[in-house]
Amino acid sequence: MAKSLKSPLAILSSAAMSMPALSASQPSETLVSVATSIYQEGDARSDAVAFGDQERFEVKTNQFYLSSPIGRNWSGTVSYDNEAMSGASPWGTIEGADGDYQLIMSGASIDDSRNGVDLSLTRHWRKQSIGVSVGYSGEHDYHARSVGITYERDFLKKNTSLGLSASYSTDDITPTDAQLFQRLDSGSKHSRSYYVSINQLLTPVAMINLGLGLTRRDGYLSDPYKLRDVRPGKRLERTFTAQYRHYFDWQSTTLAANYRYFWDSYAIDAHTGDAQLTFGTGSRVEWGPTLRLYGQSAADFYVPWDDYGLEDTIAQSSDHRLSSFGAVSLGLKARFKMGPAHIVARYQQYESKKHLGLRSKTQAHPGLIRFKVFSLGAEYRF
Amino acid sequence: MQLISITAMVLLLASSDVNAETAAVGALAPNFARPLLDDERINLSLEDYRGQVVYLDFWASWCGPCLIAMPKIEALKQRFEGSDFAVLAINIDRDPKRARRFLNKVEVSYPSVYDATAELPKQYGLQAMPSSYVIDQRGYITLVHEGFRKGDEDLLGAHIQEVLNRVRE
Amino acid sequence: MYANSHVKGLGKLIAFTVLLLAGCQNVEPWERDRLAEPAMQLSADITGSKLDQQVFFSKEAASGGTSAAGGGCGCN
Repeated sequence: MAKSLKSPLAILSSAAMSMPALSASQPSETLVSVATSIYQEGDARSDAVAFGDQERFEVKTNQFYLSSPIGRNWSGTVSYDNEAMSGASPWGTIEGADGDYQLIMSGASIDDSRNGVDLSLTRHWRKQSIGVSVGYSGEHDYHARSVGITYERDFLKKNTSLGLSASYSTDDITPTDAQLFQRLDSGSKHSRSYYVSINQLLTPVAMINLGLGLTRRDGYLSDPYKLRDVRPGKRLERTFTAQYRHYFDWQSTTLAANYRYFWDSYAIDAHTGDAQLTFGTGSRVEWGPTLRLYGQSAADFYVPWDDYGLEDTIAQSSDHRLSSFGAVSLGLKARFKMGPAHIVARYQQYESKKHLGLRSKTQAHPGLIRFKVFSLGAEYRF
Repeated sequence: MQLISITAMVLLLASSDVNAETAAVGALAPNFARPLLDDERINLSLEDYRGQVVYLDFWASWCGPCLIAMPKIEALKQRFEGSDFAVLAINIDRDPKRARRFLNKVEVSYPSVYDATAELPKQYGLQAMPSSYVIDQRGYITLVHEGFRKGDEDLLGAHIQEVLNRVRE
Repeated sequence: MYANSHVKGLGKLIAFTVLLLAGCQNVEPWERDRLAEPAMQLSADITGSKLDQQVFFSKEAASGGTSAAGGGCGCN
């Protein structure tokens, strides 16, 4: 009697392929993932723009990712991203006639693209693993290179796992039209990051991951495309993160809830919380809503509008991303499984809200944005 | 500083994964009788296999490496067809229906019994999923194998051949 | 001085957390069916997470919180 030994992975539509969360184990399958997304910012309100084009940013992104076991003891990942950006962005902020702040926008269409590649290689042992990674990201005026190392160790039959990682990156910027707009000719910055995390299985249906991160940045940290943007040459950033996962038998629902507290030497504090529900976990169609809440305080050198009276060595920036603001993001996600092939679709809508900002003193920055992102992806496992 | 050294000690002790009930190499494999997944009315017990070298495989439908291992275990069975070698699988899905659904699609010729309340993993002191045991003709464990990676079928084949050869000498 | 006391405090926090977690319920390898679901993994959607990180990093002051600290993009 002929025996058909079809690959078990091809048959099963819902096999769980990897052991829980962070662990030193070699992955047991190869995964290929591609995705394409469109990011669109809402146009700036006409009364918020004093001068320049109103059309805001749009980005099209293509992503490729491959992860695979290599031999008995190794595994590797390769990822490639390509972004095509277009649209105008704020050059600066001025005080308008009514005491409101208004934006000065750049001329239409910055057309630029970014390409990024990341590679990693990991050696696995029974209870631990060591991995190294390298990355490169480049736009025509910006290049970044990074290296990193990661160590993972399992304890108590993987009930507890410890992760340690460190990375170093160098970024170089050579602003376009430097002479024309009296911009910086070239600048560079160096970043060192450290991260420690603990993964803990709590019950047969719950798991938590706690992490602490530290990043030091040195060098040219200002935005050379803004009319007046002077930032301290050093920045120390810290993060505390908690990631929780819980499985409910009701509708086979998974809850993913994450929290991050960020605080840095710019005097910025930020809270980020997000939650995602997945219904039909393990079945042919998984879908569910996502929610994200964000709030940050202003940098201590943030100014509501550019002050050209200040010496240009004194730190100041009217960049809306350094102001006190918050944001709410709502989204929907769905995954359709057809054996080893999955289709993933995601939609997200983000709205900045002044009143969610921490310790806000000034009125809303006109550059606060709203955006939508839609992405479509395919995955294949074998 | 003291707190950190205490923590280090705790982690060091924890990492040794001491388990009083581990069925280790050299120990007698705990006997059991469990119903077949394919036919609940038939019970199989380990003692039925006394006199043969047994490959005992713990698996579940939610364990990826367990599923990848199946065709390779079937190949092992084919390789030693005619010798005193048998394969017995123990499924530990909480819901045996899921295991049956899976078995209906993958054809293996070795029997799977089920242990939905997971008594056997406890008795055998399983450290990881999947875990398999090679048991000799007298019922003693000769190998504990965790996980299933590329090339494991060759390592297992060599070990099984060696155990089979021991009796003939 | 300032940095030193912070490092000591951090060390104590990590040690305390580890001891606390080590006392948690032991989940046996054969009890991990639901924890093994792909949707339960931290790495459930690597591609989507990377995209989100990139988007939020370029629009907000806060960043990081994962071990993937890689190259920049000139966008923040």
